[in-house]
Order: sequence, then C-alpha cells, then structure tokens
Amino acid sequence: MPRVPVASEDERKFIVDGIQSDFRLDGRTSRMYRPVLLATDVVNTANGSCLLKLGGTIVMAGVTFEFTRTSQESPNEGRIEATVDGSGCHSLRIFGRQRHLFTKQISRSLNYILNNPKCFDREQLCVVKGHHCWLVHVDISVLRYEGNLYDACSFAMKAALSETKVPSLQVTHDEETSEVTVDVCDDPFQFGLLNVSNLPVFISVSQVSGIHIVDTTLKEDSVTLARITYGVKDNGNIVYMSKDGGGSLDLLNLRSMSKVASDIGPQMNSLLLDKIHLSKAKQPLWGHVNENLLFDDINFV
Amino acid sequence: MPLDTHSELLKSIDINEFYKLCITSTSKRPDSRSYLDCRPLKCLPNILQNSNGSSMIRLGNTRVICSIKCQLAKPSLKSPSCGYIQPLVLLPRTQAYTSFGRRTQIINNNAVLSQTLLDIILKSNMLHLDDLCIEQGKWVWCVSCDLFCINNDGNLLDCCLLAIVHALKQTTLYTVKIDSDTGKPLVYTKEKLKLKLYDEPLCCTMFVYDNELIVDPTLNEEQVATTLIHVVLLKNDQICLLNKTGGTIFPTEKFQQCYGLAKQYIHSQRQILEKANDSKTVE
Amino acid sequence: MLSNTNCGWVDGPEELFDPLQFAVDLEMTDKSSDNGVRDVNSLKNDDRVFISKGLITKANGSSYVELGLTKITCSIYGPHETTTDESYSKCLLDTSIKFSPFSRPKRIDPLRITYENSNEMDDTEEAELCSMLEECLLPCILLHKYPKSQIDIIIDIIQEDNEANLLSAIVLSTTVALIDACIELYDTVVAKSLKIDSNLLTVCYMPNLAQVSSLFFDGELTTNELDKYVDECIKQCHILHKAICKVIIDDLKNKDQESKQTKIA
Repeated sequence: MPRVPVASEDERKFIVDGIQSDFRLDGRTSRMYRPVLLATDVVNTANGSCLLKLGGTIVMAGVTFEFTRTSQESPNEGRIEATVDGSGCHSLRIFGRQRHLFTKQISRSLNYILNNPKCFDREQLCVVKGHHCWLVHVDISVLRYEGNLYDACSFAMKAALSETKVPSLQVTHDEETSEVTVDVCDDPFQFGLLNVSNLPVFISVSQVSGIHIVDTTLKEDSVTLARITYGVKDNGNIVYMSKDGGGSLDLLNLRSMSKVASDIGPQMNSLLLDKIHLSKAKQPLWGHVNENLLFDDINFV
Repeated sequence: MPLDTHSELLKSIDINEFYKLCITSTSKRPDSRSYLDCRPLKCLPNILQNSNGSSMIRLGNTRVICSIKCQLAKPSLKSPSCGYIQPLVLLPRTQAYTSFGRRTQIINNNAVLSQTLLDIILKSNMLHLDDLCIEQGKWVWCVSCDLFCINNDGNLLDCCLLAIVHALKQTTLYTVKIDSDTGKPLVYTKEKLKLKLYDEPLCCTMFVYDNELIVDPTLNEEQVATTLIHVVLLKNDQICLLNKTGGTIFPTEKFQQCYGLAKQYIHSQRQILEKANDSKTVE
Repeated sequence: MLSNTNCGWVDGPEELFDPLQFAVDLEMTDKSSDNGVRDVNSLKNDDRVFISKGLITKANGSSYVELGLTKITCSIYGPHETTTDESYSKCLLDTSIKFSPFSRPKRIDPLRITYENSNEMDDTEEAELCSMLEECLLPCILLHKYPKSQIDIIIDIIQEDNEANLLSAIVLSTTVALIDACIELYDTVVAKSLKIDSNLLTVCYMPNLAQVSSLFFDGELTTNELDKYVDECIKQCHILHKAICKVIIDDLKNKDQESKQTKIA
C-alpha cells in the first residue's frame, strides 16, 4: 500500500496515541467510516456509472457491455472483469511498477468476488446458452487517493453495477435451420437490470498497535503494520480475505478483526443500498446539464 | 559460497590457477576423480504425470528433466508424410541471475544445444518421422521434447541426449483413427502404442587440458578447458557426430584415442540406462 | 524483445492440437490409468513431503520440494547490490515464479519462459503468486539487515498437482532455500491451503512466533466457520514445520561431522 513518510517520530506517536484513545486525526472513532458520497449514472456513454467519494478518496466506476461468444468451460455463463486504473492519479504517491502492482492487486481482488458464484450470478449475463453472452467491463479509475482504495473501489463497483442498464435483446431461434439471431431493441428506454444483491463490499481492517481500525487515511496507513481486506456480504458472511501491509498478526487479533469486518459489513451494505436509492431519486433533478454539478457536493447523496 | 579455505578463495579468484595447482600437485581433478572417471549417473524414468514420457538424468550435480509431449498437428507442405520432433533445451534461470553467463548468452546456448540435439536425432535415424504420420497431408504427431535443466554443472549435451533417449523409450502414443466423414481425428486414450526407436545415440564429452584427455567435464572444467570434444556413437559403435570446438592443435592419432575412450564411456552409460529401464528406478 | 524472437529456433508446425480434445473414450477423470506415475505414488498421499536443499550449485541457496505430486525448485541469489533505486534502507525482494512447459496437462509454450530479471508487468497467475509470496515473506526476513541490496527468489514449478498444494509448496521451498542461503529470518514460515467444497483458504504461519504472516480466502463462510478453518490450517502448518526442522537439523549434523572429519584429516 502507498505510504507517506510521516514527518517525525512525534507525529507518529500523535497518530498512534489518538487511535489508542479512540479519537483519530479527523475525529472519528475506530469503527467509523469517512462520509460516503455518491452519484450514479454520471457518464452518458457507459451503461452504468458511479462517482464515489470516500472522504478524500474519489473513484469513478464505469460499466460497459460487449457482446461475445461463451467460453467452452462454462457455456451458460457470461463474463465480467474489473480493472482498476490509477495511471492518472498523482496523489497515489507511488509510481511505475509499484503503482501497477498495487492497482493490479485491487483489480484481482475485485475479480475474485465477481467470479465467486455465491456473490455474483454470472448466468444472468448469458444471452443464448452455449452461444452468446455479455462480457462486462467494470473500469474503475482513481481520481484522488487519500487512503482505503480497496473499499472505495468495491463501493463504487457495487453502486455502478446496481444502476447498470443491460441493453435488451431480441433473440429469435429458427427451428428449422437451428440458427440463432440476436437483434438489439430499438427502444432505448427498454433495459434490464442486474441482480447485485449478493455482491459483497470490501471492509479493510488495519491493526495499529493492537487497535483495529477501519477506513484508514494516508497518514494512518504509514503507522499501520498489517491490514486485512475482507469481502463481506450483507448477511455478515465473509467471502474474500487477503492481507497486505507487510506485518504479521497473531491468532487473537485475526479473530477480532474478522469480527469487526462482519459487524461493519452489513452496516456498510445497507448504507450503500440507501444511498443508491436516494441517488436514483435525485437523478431526474439534476440530469446531465451542467458538468460543474459533478464537483458540487450538493449533488451527491 | 564459502570462502573459508585457501583453495575455495583461489577457486573464486582464478579458476585457471586453481585447476593447474590441483592437477600438478595431486594429478587428480578437484573433485578427486582421475582423468577417465565420470561422475555417478542416475536415471529415473516416468517422473512426470502430465507427459507422454519423461525422465530425469542426474550426472553428478547436473540434473536434467526431459518431458515428451505428443500433440496433433498439420504436416508441412514440403513433407506431407513426416511428423515433427522439436527438442528444446531450457537452461536454469538461476544462471541468468548469477554473474556467470548473461541472458542473451543463455538464450544462444539454449538454441545451440537444441539444434545439436535435433541434428543428432534426425541424422542418427533413431526415430523415423514417417512413423509419426497419422494420415498423409492431414494429421501428424508433433513430438515436443522439453529439456529442463534444474542445475547445470557441465556436460549438458551428454545429459540431454541421455534424457531424450531415456524419455523416448518410455513414450507411448494414443491410437488415432481418422473419421472418414468429417476428417476429424478420433483419439483412443485407452489404446496406446510404444514409440518405436531404431537406435540409441549417446554422447561422450571430453576436453583437453595440458595434452591430457579428460572425460565428463564439470562447469568449472568447461571454463578452463582449451578444447571440448563431443563424440556421439550409435548402438553399433559407429560415429554419428564428432565435434571439436577450436582451441588447441590436435594430432590425428588422438582421435583414435578419443574414439576408444568414448566407446568405453558410452558402453557403461548404456548399461546403466538398460538397467534403469528394467527396474524402473536404479541407483 | 530479444528473448522472445530468438527462442523459436526449431522449425515446427504453426498450430498444435491437444490430442485429448479429440478423445473418444474420455475417462481422463480416472487419473490412475493414464500414466505409470500414479501407480508408483498411488498410496493416496497428498501430504507426502520431500525436502532437499542445495542442489543448484550456482545459487546462494536452493531447495527442491515435493508436496504430494507438486514438485518445485527454488533458488536464491543474493543478497547482492540492487539495480533499482526504490529503497535504500531495506532489502528488496524480487520474486520470479515460472511454470515449466510440462507442469500442467496442457503444454505451456516455453517461449513464455524468459530470462528477465523481474517479471514484466503481466497479468498472469504467476504474477499473482509472486505478490502472494512476497506478502508472506516480508514479515519473516530481517530486511533491515541488508540495506541497499536485493534478494532474488527464482522458483520453477516442475509439476503442479492441485491448486491447494501449490502456494504451500512454493512457500515451503522458499523458506528452505532462504535458510540454505544463510539469510537471517525471524522464523521459518510455512503455508497450508485447505480446499473444502468451493472454499479455498491459505494461511502462511510462523510457528515459533505464533504469528500469521499472510492469508488468503475465497469462498463463503461465517466468521465462526472461518476461525475453525484457520485453526485447521495452522494445525497442518505445525506438521510441515516439523518436516522442515528435521531436514535442517539433519543437514547441520552432517555438515558438523564433515567439518570434524576434515579437521582430523
């Protein structure tokens, strides 16, 4: 993970002491997230999109559809892949190969939960069994980084996918020649939606001198020894887990960290769901008229 | 690498001097072999589960794994009834990291060894390419021999050739019939045929140091040697390949001596190989 | 790139077909019949461990590990002067993992095996394994003892048996090789993967410190079930740890005896 050098040993102590007395640099408690702000359907050209702010971290997710053939191994499933791109983001602090490895790691984690049959049903992306399916690209670009990219990306991905308009198709099956023809519907207002109710969100739990905190900022990252990213479903089940940060953990800490994650996961899931509903209601109000609207916090929910 | 003793230090600083000292003082090689001794040879057949035939050869510290994989291919227009055989040597990647040998040099060495092996296989007639034909002009077998060197401690050509011969002996091919309607091959995985080998070329590598012929060089010895000689003999002791790499001038009578040494050396190799074939594993 | 164009030295067909895709009597699920190898090792031993070290003479440390039917070699080169300027205060780890052409039922094109120093920016399984391995090793090596230097870890997968064994074997071989290279470690790190149904859990564990250095999970479990899985993994890690200890202690004893003998001589 990217780390900023902390100015001095005193500053480090200040951060750690704050965490230990449950009063972090920005006044949060150890289990509080920074405010999540999101706006969905912000890009005209994408089938679904979401601009998400998690404190100072800003990510943009866009979902696009591509029509392809099904693979031989899974003839009745579509394909979906997520990519995280941080190439234009100077605030990521790391450069070159390190940055590439970092963003690749996040895309890999996202792909794990997308390809887990218990999290995302890929059969809904199949158009004609054994013939045609959708290949869904979820492109996430990092606009600003101030810590906790994992969680921000997963929130944005879930929000974007839940708002995605699947182009509706007309499939005609010729009985005699057994030929399948697929036509795109003329009506642009006819579309389907994806079922993303099971899709988990990432909850990263960091350990700083024995205390477990969520949603670390850049400065807190630099005093973090180890961090575990959990994929948590809305029922609190854990579907993904990976570690970074370069430190080690004992078993007791591991247990309490997974407890923290499975407690907070459902909360964040329902928060996100509420926000998505609110944003849906707000959409007609602001439309796509003024680009500046995107940068005004009033337009977010 | 421990540098505790004087000889270890000398070895890492000046390999030539070290070798000279060793030969003159003891008239034995650094690993206490005499000039005509070869290192202990071990052959293990069928060590890989994903190949049609495989083997591991261990000659002292040199270890080579050979895997034979048979795949279907379309024959070339030039020779529609011939299959393919592709030996491919991969030197250890460790070598690219240590100061010894640069990357491009290793890739070149791979190419040279692979080409030499291909030449030996084709010229010795150990394997008829016509046998690999399933239907003329349509389908043939492509036999890929991947030689993976785990460790290179000299005398790779001997090891690679031993490994290929040993692995090819184990190799079985699936029975393939061609569907006359669709032209598609039908593979019967249950019925297997042994690949027919007509000959077994084996190689003996020696080098000249101070006008002495020494067999089975290690990697260090390959560095100090002034000239390397490869002799490949067939089953009936006929010479298949004789190669001398530059270096010192060499009287013709010496080649007789080379041939005699190679005959002796290859004979013992052949015995070990046959024993390995009979009892599957042998020390 | 030089390495890629120069590798295709032998004439060959343009396209190769795996014969099994045309198989008529497909019973390849029954692995015991398709090759002689299974007959030898058919004792149903996924946990059979074989460890040996020091077989690659040019490397500073090396090891060969068999775990079940997974076979892996690992060699360590370094610590040596670093070529990059990423970090000076600590040692850099450069891991490179490659599958050999015959490691899987389908042949892997050997042109992909390059001799480059670090893996290129590719999105392959190998790159993922590399990052997992690095994460697992970072807490265990005393990196601050080797400033301005770099340790190269070169791993070749000779044969892969199943997904669950792979990372475990890689970590095991790396630990043994690191010990063989005399690199200072806090503890020996061992890894064990459990695959039950569609849940895959890998835990890298340091038994003496009782610390988990890395873990990975894919599947779906409640927290209580997950804890049980982790406990089970750690139990298995202890068994592997014993195997490593035995090899290292035996090796040390041998060396000790040898040095005594040479002194007498």
